[in-house]
Amino acid sequence: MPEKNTGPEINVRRMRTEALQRFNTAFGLMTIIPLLICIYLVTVKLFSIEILVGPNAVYFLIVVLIGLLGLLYGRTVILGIVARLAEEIEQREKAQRNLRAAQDQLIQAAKMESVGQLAAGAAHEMKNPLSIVQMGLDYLKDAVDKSNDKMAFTLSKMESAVRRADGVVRGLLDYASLSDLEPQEVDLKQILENALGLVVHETDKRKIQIEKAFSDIPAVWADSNRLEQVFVNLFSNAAFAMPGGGTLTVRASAHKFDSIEPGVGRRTADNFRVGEIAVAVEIEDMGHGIPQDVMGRIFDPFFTTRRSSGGTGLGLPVVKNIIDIHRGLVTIRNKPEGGGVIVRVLLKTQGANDGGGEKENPDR
Amino acid sequence: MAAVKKKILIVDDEEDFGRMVKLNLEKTGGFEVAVESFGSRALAAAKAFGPDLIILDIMMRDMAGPAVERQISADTALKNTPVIFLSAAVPHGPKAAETFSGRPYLAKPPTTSDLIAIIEKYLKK
Repeated sequence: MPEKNTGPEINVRRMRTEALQRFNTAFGLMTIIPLLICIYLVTVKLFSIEILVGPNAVYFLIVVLIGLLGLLYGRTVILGIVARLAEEIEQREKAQRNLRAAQDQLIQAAKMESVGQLAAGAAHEMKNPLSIVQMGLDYLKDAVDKSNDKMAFTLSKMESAVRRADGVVRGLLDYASLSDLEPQEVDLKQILENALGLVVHETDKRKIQIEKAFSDIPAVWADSNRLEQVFVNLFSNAAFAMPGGGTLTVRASAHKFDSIEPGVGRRTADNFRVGEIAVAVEIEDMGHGIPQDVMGRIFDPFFTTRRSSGGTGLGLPVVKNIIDIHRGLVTIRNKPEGGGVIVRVLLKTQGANDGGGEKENPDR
Repeated sequence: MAAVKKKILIVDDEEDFGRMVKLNLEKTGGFEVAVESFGSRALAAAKAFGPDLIILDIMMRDMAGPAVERQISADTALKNTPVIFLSAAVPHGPKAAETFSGRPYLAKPPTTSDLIAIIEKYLKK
């Protein structure tokens, strides 16, 4: 039975069905036995056939009826006990799952807190030397011979290196300071509009058209600042992917999970249950897509294909981290027809521990 | 041009940084800069120097920037002097804070032109 691989979770529905089947078999056998006894008694003539037709037949029928009623009552009682047991197991299983999810979140928060302290300390220690280098460069800029191309080149490269190092420090702080979330019901449309507003410089510069398709969507359960950061990062990535212009499409709609897929199912690690309603945001660009050999590394911290143009390799890890903490899902795939990527973000419409829709699919 | 030089006090325990800011600001010809590298001595330095504006670090070893700011705000002679926080310890995010403890705020590392822009914006007229 493959279900055993999913650990201590118990398949309540299967248990109930099995109990019913066994009881029905036993019940069948038990009704056959008195019948066989009757036939035996009649055929060996211990009683004459009159017992079934004579005046005593009424007593005989009453005995048989009481027997049958007893069996029916027994069946109901047993089914009731099975149902109650199943209910209790189900509740305990749910409590255990919630507890485990809460534990996971606590561990994650503690981990991020220590990373955060380390990052904040490191950031402070790095920003001061960077400030001195920047001030030194500003001073030297006026002191050097401006007609000397090599000097100007050297200074400008040093200055962009300072900016890059500062970008890494900022990214590290963003990556690390995720433990203090303030989730609440938020209006996703507003967040998407805000995020688009924050990248307008990037999109206008490249003459990128924005297409929005927001259907009627329920409120999502999230920290609005963090979520805004997710979309700012994703929109900037899309803008960077289209240096010569194009269309950035943003779609948002309600989404119901119909089947088990990665991250969707009954396991503790699954963020959504089959049957649960989530909100899906799709961000589509018309860029060059992601080469297959780097697809597996796009969420790794410090992995970037844009190092030379200031990429820190922390944009997508920050996105992934924020979405993970919100118990949502993020996937990135190349468009099947080529020419761009589609990023899909799935977000919870309620608190993380509701476990909605779990009864829809017993097969896991 | 006989414009009076504006007096700027920099309080930052990163001494070299303070010195370099002084070099860059004074090079423009528009500023006279004093540097103090101890938070605990900032109030005395400000009283002695009489700055038009104070640039204040937040995380300092002996006395934190906000505590220095409270001393300045409580001082009758200095309470109207603009203070700008300049620090490596910062809240981050898409909308990085532009104020800290009710005062304007600039994140390290700044460029000299960032610094001059924010000084000119808040310099008392």
